[in-house]
Amino acid sequence: MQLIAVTNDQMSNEKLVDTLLKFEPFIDLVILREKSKTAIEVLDLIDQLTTLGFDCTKIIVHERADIASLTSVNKVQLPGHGLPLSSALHHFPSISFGKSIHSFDEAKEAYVNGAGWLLYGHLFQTASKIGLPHRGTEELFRITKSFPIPVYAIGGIHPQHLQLLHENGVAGVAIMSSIFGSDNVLESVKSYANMILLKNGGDLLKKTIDLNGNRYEMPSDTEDVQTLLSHLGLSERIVIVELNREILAKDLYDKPINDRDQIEIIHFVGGG
Amino acid sequence: MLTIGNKTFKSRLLLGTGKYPSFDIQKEAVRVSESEILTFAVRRMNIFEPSQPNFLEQLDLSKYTLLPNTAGAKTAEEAVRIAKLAKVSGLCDMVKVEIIGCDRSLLPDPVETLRATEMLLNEGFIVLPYTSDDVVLARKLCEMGAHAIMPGASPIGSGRGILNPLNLSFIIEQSTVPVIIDAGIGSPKDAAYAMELGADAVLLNTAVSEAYDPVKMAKAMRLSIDAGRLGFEAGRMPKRDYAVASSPMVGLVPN
Repeated sequence: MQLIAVTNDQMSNEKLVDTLLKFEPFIDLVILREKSKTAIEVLDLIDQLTTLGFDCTKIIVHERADIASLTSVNKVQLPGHGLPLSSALHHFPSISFGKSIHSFDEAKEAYVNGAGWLLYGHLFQTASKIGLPHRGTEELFRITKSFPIPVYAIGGIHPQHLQLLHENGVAGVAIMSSIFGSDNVLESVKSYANMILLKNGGDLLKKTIDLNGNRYEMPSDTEDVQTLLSHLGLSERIVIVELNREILAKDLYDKPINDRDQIEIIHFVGGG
Repeated sequence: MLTIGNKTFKSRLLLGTGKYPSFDIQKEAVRVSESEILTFAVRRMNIFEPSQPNFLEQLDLSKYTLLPNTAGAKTAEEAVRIAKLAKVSGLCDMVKVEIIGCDRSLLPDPVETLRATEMLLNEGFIVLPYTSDDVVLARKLCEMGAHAIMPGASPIGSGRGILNPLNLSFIIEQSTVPVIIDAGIGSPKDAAYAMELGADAVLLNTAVSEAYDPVKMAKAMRLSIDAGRLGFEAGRMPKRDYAVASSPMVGLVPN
């Protein structure tokens, strides 16, 4: 099962790049759905992401096949009212297209016309689509059973829904409001990612911390500063520890380390 | 005796610990310098190579007073953070305020230095600000309660010696706390000169670490500082415009 983040057109490119780089380890795909941005801005967004090492095979551009064709991105999500699939495929042969659908009939048409994947919504009530009817799972499951291409679902999906969707052949979930609308976007992404890992039969995510500016996966037997220091071979060394920019006295080394904590290990070096 | 805060020292040479060719040479240089106060910098550790040797861990810490600097700080707040990091090690309560305001000359930022000194004094540190040779700034630091004033002789690491002896002598004259000439000392002559001006101590690093023979230079610095201090205490003769013969003018042997 896959996790797709859908951007909500609310962040500046700078903020979005920063956020997505943090997301990258936890998501399989991202749909850049920045409808109010100009073509130049979206190009710049993609350029920044790929320059900073974001895996371009994880990027899907919303609607703008023309933009994608100017970049190394080769996936485009067509909305229901978007370009006709067959002509889009004809004009942009190097791009694969997914299609947003709202019914079994639309799914069938998209499949016949060469869609690489389908995105069905809106499954449940969601903050971004208040007032629109949500469709529930029945038709979705009919679609997943009928077509051999990946079918993703979007709309009001929460981690507790993943089990049901997984059992019924849904290839993944696309999440927008629950991630980008939350106070702690990274925690939200990780709660989905964790559930998906479980569905996929993997272990829960290990705690990752920022250790002296590096992403560091905490070994499973490490819980507090003291055990981290011994793991690093530093327990007998003269070091100073900062936890989330708070300087720790030695008697506080039993403080637990949480996911995403920022730790600095400092020492004395020669100086004048 | 040199008294800083509540501590007294026999040595008037404070030695920096950066840029030595090897730890062995450094240890020997520190030993022969007879310094009791050693400066250090506070830095992020390379945690992926934690086994790299560390000079401080090879010292008998009971023999030395550590003077961490705040090098790297550009603002008072950054300096305070570094000072607090150093202090929590439990190894030191003194701090050398070093806030660089110019990347090319490495001259200190006077405004941030003054602010940091006040903040650190309020936090209970023994504060030794590295400052320019500005007489008024030195007085303000002194009035604020700094435990020693450390005016530079010339830019850090330049080895240009004492560029403004008049300012330094004004600072020394007005100060109610020890004045330590810090930065720019290049040779034993410079160190002796600083001491002759009446400085209470000298802090140097590059003059020793970059000498061809750092160990020998460490000894030379110790001797020159002792000599300069003794000379100052002895009180030098007055300068005159014309010669005064040292040998008696009476009883000359006739031709």
